[in-house]
Amino acid sequence: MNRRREVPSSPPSRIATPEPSADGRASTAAALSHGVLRGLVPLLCLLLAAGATLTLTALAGQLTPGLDFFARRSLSVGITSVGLVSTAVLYAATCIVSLRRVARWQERGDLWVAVGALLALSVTALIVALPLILAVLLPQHPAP
Amino acid sequence: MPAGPGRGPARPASPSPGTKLATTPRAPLVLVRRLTALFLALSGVLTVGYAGIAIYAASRLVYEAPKPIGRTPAALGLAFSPVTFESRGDHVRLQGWFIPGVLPHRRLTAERVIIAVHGLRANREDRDAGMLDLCGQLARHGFAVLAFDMRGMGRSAAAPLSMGINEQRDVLGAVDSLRAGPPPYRALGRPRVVGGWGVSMGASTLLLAASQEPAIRVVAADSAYAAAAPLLEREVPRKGGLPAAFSPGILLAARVLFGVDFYRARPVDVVSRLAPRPVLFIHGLRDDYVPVVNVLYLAAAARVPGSHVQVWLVPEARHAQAFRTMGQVYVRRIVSFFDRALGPATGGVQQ
Repeated sequence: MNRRREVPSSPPSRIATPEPSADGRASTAAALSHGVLRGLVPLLCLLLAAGATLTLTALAGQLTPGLDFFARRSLSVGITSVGLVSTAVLYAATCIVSLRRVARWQERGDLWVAVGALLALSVTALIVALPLILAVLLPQHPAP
Repeated sequence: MPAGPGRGPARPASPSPGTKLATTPRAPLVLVRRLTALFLALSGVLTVGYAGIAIYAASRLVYEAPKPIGRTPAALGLAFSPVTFESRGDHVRLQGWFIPGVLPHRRLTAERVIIAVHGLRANREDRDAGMLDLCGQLARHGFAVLAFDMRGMGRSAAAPLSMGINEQRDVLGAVDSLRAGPPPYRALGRPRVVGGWGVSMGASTLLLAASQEPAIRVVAADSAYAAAAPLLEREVPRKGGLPAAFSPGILLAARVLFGVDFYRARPVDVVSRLAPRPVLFIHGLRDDYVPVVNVLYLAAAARVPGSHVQVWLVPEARHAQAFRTMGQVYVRRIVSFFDRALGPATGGVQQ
């Protein structure tokens, strides 16, 4: 009795899809969380740097009461400008490091970690762009 | 099974249990990574650029190089005395001059004093508005005039410009100086009544000050704005050649860096407190800097029970140009307004 060998109708999937299990879901969630936390590092650094800049600017004004307005104005602008540049450099550096990590995770197959990190980085980009978005979209201060 | 001669292409090994694989294909994830990188870079560059421009513009907004004073009342043949006093509350040193009123028979008087408040980025001379000439006219009609440079302008001490928020303390300092400071002309004594005339930012500043100082018995506000923020939101980007979206950032930077909250400069919110003191609002119908709607809002807000509000819309007059446009008509209107509100001058001291 010849049994016809069944021919698969589609090529077999190259990626295994293991049956989800409680352990599997937990490890996926853990990997995702891990990735999200690592991906939030640039945002954290940005907030810390921006906060330090504002604090220094405020402190400079408080600690130099004897200076005239011109000197205080120059000091405020100078500190804020240096702080802005430093924040930008720190932000760029942490983003680059984070993206390289994501690439390594992808290569190693830690894809859920990579997905989590990319999610966090996307949110970071959105938060950074939010002031611009609000400035463009919000209506101007209405007339009295 | 490795690739080699006679063998087919290498096939990926079957996944063994425990391998960390996902259901997500890799190629789209690479694309997502690149798009995320692009989004991060774009948002960073744009936001840093926006912040940098806003900071620079804010530093220019709160500071203006003081304009020199070209003429004094002596150029009009009037006696005057330099005065120095401090603002109320924060003791900013202010400079000005006191012009005694001239009565018939060459008598001088300080009985009725008008505090004259100049516009933004000007000084006690305020050449654009013709303020010195108007002060001279008021003096010749028997009103003494105290004209001074607001903080950060003219010869007064440097301070951030704040569209009236802080400058109102300068006007209040002027009142304090008239009431309790050393009299500029001892023989003339102290004033019986004090009124105010202001132009543009000076008018709005005067409204803010008068709302909390009953000693200012009458106010003439020429080209006042009802609120500063809408004006700045329109003018700051326009004069700087920037898109309007920069306005919120510039005003926020001014607040964070210099402590100036331009959104608080709202004379329209306090002008009702002037009642029952007489108020005259003057505005040019061709004012394209402070739109006419501002005076309509101010007048409407000032009209509460017991108020005495007049509005004079001057045809063909641009911003702060009503006096230059109308000349003696303007002088007569102002003088009669002040005469009715402050009463006639009596006495005086022979010059």
